[in-house]
Amino acid sequence: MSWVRCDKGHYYDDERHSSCPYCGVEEVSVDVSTFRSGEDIKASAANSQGERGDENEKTVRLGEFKTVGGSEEGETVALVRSNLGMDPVTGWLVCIDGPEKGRDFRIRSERNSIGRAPTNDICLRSDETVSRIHHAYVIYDPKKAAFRLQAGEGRGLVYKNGEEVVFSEPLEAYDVIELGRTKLLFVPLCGERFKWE
Amino acid sequence: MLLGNAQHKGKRREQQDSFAISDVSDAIFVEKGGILAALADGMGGMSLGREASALAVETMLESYAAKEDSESVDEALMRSLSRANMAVVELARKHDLEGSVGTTMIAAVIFRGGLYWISVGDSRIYLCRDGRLIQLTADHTYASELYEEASIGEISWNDALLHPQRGALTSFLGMERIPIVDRNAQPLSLRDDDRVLLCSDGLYRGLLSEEIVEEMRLSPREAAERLVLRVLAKDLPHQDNVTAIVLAPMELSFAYYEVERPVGGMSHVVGEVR
Repeated sequence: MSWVRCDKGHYYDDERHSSCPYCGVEEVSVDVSTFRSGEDIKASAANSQGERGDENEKTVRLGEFKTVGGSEEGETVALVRSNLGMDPVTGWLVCIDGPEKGRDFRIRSERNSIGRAPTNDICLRSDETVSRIHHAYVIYDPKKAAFRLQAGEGRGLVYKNGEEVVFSEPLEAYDVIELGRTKLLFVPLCGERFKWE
Repeated sequence: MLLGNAQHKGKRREQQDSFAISDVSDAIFVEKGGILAALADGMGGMSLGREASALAVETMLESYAAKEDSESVDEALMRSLSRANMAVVELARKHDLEGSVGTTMIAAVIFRGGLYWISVGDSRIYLCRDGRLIQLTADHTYASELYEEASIGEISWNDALLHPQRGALTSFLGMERIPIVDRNAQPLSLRDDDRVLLCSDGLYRGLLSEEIVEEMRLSPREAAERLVLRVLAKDLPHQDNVTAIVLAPMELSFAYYEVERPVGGMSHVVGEVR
């Protein structure tokens, strides 16, 4: 946990929120249809991050860890964490409709719970139609470098591009996740073109 | 964690509460002025309630930051409050809504282990000590006046309790002259396990004292978050905006102690906050 102060004098946990949750989000209008494929954005993000990835490979003595880790590639996440000294972002959810419209949320490795209470990894505090805890999960599988959306344990349903997610569904860039009155656009960082090493 | 804050819109369309806490990692400021927390609950149509409370809090912090060593904490608080009032009056004047745009204001300072406060309106500052909740500020509402009149027999208790205007504020920022200001000139000296709570009416109208005390046993950060969640969990029909700030004195006086030593002082304070 890291407790930081925003410009306006609010304190918040910057591992849970990528920007101050108490500062009002200015009214913005977002039209999903204007995102054609999102390829441009994705490519530029992957490129700029790719350089940093190379840098990390040099500094973290990766080969050493890999031989030690052996076949258990799933453990690389733990290694990434200890090597980088942090739990790096793997993608984002951007609220395009609902009370948090305009705000972005960070997705990290493995299971990310979505809910209304601040104990969730992704906290939609202003949408009272979202379950308090574990309405849904966004999962990043570091082994496959792939994302999935999984339904939660509560009563509230979760939709992917308008279809109910019963168990779990793979997530692709610019899929729209809907829970309660909130719509979230999925924007990956990790995938085929970039991975934290 | 020496401080916590939490906020929710409740069932209102807009967040009209504003709050801010001074930078606790700023060693120079801490030495001069301690830690300042300010909270305001705005009122007025359109977006003016929100604007008024945000402006008041911002002005309060800015003005207080200009405090010099020669100025006492209570003087600095009073000066900052006047500045905040002028700013809100100006805002109302700009929209030709003088007297109907305004905001409450509560501010608390912990300076060298002592608590100073100032209040206008019906937001509250509480001291939580030994499992008891002590309200440090009075509510500047018409209800308070009505109760006084009822208690001396000028009006009946029924008239007092059912008066339609009983919730109206009798003192707030945005008035040409503020009729009532609650403040203390002598600091209240805090004990290590004391907690100070600043909150808007959306919080205290929904929770019993016992419920507040229960949550105040947690760390300030958890306490603030749990208090807001607890009132929301009641799902009250017209839940107002809720804001809570919780301050603990122990580490603050410790922080000050560290600041006095020039080497390593500042980085230590930063470490405490994070």
